[in-house]
Amino acid sequence: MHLYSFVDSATTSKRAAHAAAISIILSPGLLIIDHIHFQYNGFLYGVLVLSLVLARSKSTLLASGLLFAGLLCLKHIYLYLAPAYFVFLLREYCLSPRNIFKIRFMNCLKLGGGIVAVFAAAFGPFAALGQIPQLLSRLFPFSRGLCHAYWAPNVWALYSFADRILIYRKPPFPLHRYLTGK
Amino acid sequence: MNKTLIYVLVAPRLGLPLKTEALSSATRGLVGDTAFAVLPEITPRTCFILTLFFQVIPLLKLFKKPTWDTFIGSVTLCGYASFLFGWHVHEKAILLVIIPFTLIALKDRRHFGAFKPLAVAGHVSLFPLLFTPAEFPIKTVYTIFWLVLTLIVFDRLAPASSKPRVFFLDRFSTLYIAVSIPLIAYCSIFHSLIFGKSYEFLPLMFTSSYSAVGVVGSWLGFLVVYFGS
Repeated sequence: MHLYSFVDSATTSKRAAHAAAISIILSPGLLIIDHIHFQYNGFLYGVLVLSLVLARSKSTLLASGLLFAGLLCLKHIYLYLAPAYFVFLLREYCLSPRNIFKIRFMNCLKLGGGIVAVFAAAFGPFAALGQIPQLLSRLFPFSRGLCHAYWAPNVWALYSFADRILIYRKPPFPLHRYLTGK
Repeated sequence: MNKTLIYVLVAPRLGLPLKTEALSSATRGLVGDTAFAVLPEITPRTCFILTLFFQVIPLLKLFKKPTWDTFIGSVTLCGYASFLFGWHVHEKAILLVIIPFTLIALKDRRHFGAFKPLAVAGHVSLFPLLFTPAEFPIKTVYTIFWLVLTLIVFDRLAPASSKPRVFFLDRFSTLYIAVSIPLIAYCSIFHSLIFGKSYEFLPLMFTSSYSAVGVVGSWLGFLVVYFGS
């Protein structure tokens, strides 16, 4: 449904927008992690796409920001994308387009107030019950290891792979011995 | 492959000590805690600083030129940075990169070129999440069908770019996609035929290292496109 609004907002090529929208809907990623795995990711990504599309037009910037704040409360994985939202909304909504030193206070107030309201609604009950430390330790699991069980394919996976290979290395080429004279 | 190569070549020469307790522990598939035997440990602080650094670079451009296309590009790059350098990242976080990227992948052939290895790597890396034999046919057949269809349709629709393409990136993505075929075949069929139940961490390690090369490659490619347009 939200993808439909993306298609509508595309100005350059409707065909391309349709193709992109269909590829997301039919994505095997969503099939694997949502329809079979767990956690309602499909619905959340729908909200993300809607928020991204709302950012396309000046008149719906505020709605886009508030929707993203709501999305953050639904699942904090989207915190990863928050810096881009912050800079974009700051530049496009809170500062004047001509002069970046001119602040549009009314817009700042609307956006800031809205975001505070969304977060208060989400975290208020936990704060009232004194559960915030428990909440934070669940949300940010630094006590768990660097790599997830199956190694997400990132730089650390390459790093671990290199480490595993280095274990099996033959006695190393003793260059450092020549250099240090030991 | 650069990072691996660098470490394979450099670490022995530095005479880094081998931590024997790490040999028996971790990183063999199912354990959550990671210990390195040879290379230095990574702290959450290192992850955080690296992530932030690679997020701020594209954001500087967004601040200077706040168009919608740049915004989607910087959302994609923020996703990349946190996925590549983050602490305890789950495989499914790759969709944080793929989905925003899809919205601009058809902008021109340069964008599409960087998107190709990501589409393959991202979805192949999700395979280990479904591990029972019963789920094997549907995930493989459906993913391959989707990849073929998407790549063909996108290939027809992506308009030519006004700027010259990066030669190396083209060759890289073609070769990369070709390698995925024997890899999937090995991990899902031949490994169990050859080794049976032993060395179960091997297919996982190959899958994630292969995918990591693809994701890092497409990240570098997209950085070039993002700052070049």
